[in-house]
Amino acid sequence: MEEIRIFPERCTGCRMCELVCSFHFTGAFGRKAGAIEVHRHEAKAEFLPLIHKRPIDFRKTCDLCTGEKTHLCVKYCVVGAIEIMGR
Amino acid sequence: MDEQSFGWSGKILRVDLTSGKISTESTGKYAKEFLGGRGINSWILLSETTQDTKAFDPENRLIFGTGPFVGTVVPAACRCTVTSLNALSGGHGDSNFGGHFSAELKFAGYDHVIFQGRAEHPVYLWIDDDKVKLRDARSIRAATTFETDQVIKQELGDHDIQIACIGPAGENLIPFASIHATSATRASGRCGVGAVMGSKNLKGVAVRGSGLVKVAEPERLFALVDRIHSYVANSSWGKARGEKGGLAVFEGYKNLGLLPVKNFQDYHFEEADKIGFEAFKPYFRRHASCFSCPVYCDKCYKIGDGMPWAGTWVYDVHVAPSMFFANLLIPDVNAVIKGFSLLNGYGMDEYDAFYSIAWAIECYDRGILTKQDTDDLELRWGDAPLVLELIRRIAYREGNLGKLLSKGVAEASRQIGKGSEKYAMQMKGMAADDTKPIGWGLGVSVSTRGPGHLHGALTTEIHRISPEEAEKAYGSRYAADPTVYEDKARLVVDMEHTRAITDCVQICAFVSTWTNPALPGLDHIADFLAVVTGSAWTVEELHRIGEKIINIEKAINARAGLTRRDDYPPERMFEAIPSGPAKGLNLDFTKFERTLDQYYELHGWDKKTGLQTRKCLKELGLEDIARKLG
Repeated sequence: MEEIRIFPERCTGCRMCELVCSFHFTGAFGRKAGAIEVHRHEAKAEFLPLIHKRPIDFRKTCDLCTGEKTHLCVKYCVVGAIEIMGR
Repeated sequence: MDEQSFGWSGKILRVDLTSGKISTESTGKYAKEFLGGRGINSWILLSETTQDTKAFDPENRLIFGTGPFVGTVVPAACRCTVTSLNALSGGHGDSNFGGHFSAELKFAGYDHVIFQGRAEHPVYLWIDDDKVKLRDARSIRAATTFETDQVIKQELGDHDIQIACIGPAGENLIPFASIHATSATRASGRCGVGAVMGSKNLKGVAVRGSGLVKVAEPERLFALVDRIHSYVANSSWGKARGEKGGLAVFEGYKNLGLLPVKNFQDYHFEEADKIGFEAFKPYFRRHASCFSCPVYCDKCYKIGDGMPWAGTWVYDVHVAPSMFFANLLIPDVNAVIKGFSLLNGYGMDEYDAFYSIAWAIECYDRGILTKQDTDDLELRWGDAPLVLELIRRIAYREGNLGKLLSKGVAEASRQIGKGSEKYAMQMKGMAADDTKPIGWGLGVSVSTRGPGHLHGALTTEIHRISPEEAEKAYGSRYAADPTVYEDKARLVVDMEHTRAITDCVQICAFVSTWTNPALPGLDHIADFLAVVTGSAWTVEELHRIGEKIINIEKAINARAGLTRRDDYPPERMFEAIPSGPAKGLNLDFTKFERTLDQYYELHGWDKKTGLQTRKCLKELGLEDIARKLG
């Protein structure tokens, strides 16, 4: 079974994943309309992508890009901080 | 603009700090003519201020401008232009910053924010989608940008917001104070925009945006994006820029022998490697990216335990910090990080801070400044503790020397006189950028917002490409030849247009043709405009809009009394480079003048005065401006 995994130490905080995830759900671009959010703590040099797999607040839950040609966040993460396991 | 608005959010936020009134207007009335970002900002500044408006007057406007690509997947379309009357030149001022602020503003629903008036006491603006409020900032008066960022996030109960703010330098109205954003890791450095913000008692702007940016043709947009991502991932350029960031450019300058030292007396620093990429490696903590950018050229560098200034961290170490310390002959990475961090915290521009210090050291060497002027300080090249101390004194106007240097290098030399003006590396009242080689130098000298390499300076001259490749990429076989004057005026005008449009749509210069001929120029931007906004512009139309924007900014300068005499580099810049790999390279005064003539002719401006003619303004549809300029 496919599972999505994050490697936060690789993340550069570009938030392309937020944009493309939002596009998957809405056809438009935003930061709060998808299932993934990236927290940037610049002072601590920590960037943390979080993928929502269960419903919380207004967040969508990850459906592994059902209907898309490929997993969008994986494709558009240029540093490989998001991977699909168990394919 | 309506619900179906593609690209632009459709709204401009206007904040009157005197009355406290907050209102919105439509971006639609400006978008077709001035596109967005810097273009719309400049038009608003010209039309809403007069010849009598001064930078620190309440009537001056402080305008933040995003662009139609910001908040989409267009690579590196993350930038924000801050526009205002220039605190040092009195004319046009604009300074751009990257990071994540611009996108957040788009998601909150705004293309531009216009500040006018002056608040009674320090305030910050909180933009929470359509809920916009001015909040009391008295508790963070005198706070550094770092502290301001932390306190506002705590107060609002959300660390995942974007803040642009000023530090003590802006509050103290240091005329080269800057604005800092994204946890004070990005800066809008030049033209004293931070001081204008301070003059309005505006401590910060905080944004949270939960909305969306729509595009007209997403599938076609993704196809264009994929091509650029692929180039970045597979090219040696992309790999080098990702690995080394801006320090790759520092290395380039070092290898070319173009690192200015001792206030531009020479261009070769023996110990440059001690503050180059390899020297910074042990301090590296992580790569970072601006919003929607595939290049991750930003790096976090941090001083480790047991070292001087342990714990100090910085991002965005582009060329500049190391270049300034090389100029002062300081080969010390810790000092570079600490100095850069201080400037970020105080909120002060590096150019005027460092070039006023360089001027002071040279003048002290020559006996023009004495111990009385320097509060008994011994001014020496290579003295890191001195430089760090002076940065603080400048931010707070401490002592005779702090007060003097806080005026900026141009005004400081005017005050001292005694021939010290010869050693003030300034243009239009602002600390100057270097002006070699030729096209770079012309672009820096005529730059509307004051000396700078981002408004028309040619970067093409350092690309190692053949004349045929140069012809293909830039329309001239001479574009990549730093030793000739042929075609340079025309290339600078083209670059002015390209840079103006790039600043309208807000793509980062580092991911554009300005950096690399394979990256987006006007043709790619036209493609992106079509698929993002659903409206088409030809490359010719974009050139015309670019020309209009340059003329608007020129008009603001003309109104403030700037003429041809303000488009020259300082005398010293015409001397040949004395040593190093670029020994003998010079900017010839007569040839420069002739190239400047050609430049004015291409713009349709008067060669003698450098000013716009009624005819040229009429042809651009700017007759109103012609009338106001008389």
